[in-house]
Amino acid sequence: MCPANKDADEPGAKFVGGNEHAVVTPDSFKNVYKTVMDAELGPQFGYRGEGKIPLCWYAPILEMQSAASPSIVMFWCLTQGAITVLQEFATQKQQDLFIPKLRTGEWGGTMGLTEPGAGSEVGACKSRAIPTDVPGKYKLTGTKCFISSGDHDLTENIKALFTGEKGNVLEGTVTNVFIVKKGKVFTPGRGVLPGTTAGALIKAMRKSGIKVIKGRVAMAVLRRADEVFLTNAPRGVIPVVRVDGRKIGTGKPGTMTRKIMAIFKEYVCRNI
Amino acid sequence: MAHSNRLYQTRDIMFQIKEWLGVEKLLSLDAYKDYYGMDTSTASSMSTIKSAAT
Repeated sequence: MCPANKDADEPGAKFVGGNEHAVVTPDSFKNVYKTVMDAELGPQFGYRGEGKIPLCWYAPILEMQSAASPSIVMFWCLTQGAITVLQEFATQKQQDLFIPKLRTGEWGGTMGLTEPGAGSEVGACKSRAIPTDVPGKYKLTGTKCFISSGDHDLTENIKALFTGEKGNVLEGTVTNVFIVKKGKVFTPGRGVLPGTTAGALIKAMRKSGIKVIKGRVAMAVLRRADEVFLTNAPRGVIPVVRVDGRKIGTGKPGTMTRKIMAIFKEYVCRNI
Repeated sequence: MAHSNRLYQTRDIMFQIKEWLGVEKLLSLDAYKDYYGMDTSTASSMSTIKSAAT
């Protein structure tokens, strides 16, 4: 790996275009990739099911691999991530189809996540998958400008994963979303990043006897909510009075939201 | 940029794995004991040292 790292700069990967393997990697990368796959020192560490390998076992291995060549190690690190995401979010059928080939490195993984510039607000990056005339094939458009291991000639197939909840509310760019309906609080349960403020607030609300339900929240339900509020670390609980230009409730922060703001304030004073 | 000379020492790495990270104890837990042992972990690390440096 170490001598091959030089090839990442010179001659480097070449963009040759075309529909398949539009990016050609240096020959030394192919040898390294095969060696690492044969030795089972790559993607299999991302598998988190029965027979998983403890991550602390992998820590010194990754340290050595990254020191030898950070360019090459990216190829299987992203496959590891793809395996973990599939195990968390994919259907059993999808897992059975993709995971075995990803684990052996026959297929590679990549991620649908790259900042539009070099910023840190990844949530601002929007991409759309538009169906083509070919069933099951989509064209991806959006603000991504590059993607690590998005195309290369080391594997026969590369999986780019997107998780989404069609028609459902997930989260804000830097916030978690809560709605109030008939005195109960609802918040999206899957496919969202677990906010620390949201987690603390849920705990505080439940302690105060408020019923909090984590699950799917449809956009239509959000629009018809009695009250809506967001949470994040800098501002705590933030009331929402309009969604898509339409008033929520009376168009002012509701009774329940104000009560929850007070609960959270008390929680912060006591615990932080 | 990686260097061609090896800065890691095998002894240090094995110390990290065995003593510091406690992989042996970890591998004795139910989730792992039927699948792996210290010999597999050591073999992985040795194999990595070889493939990373050459």
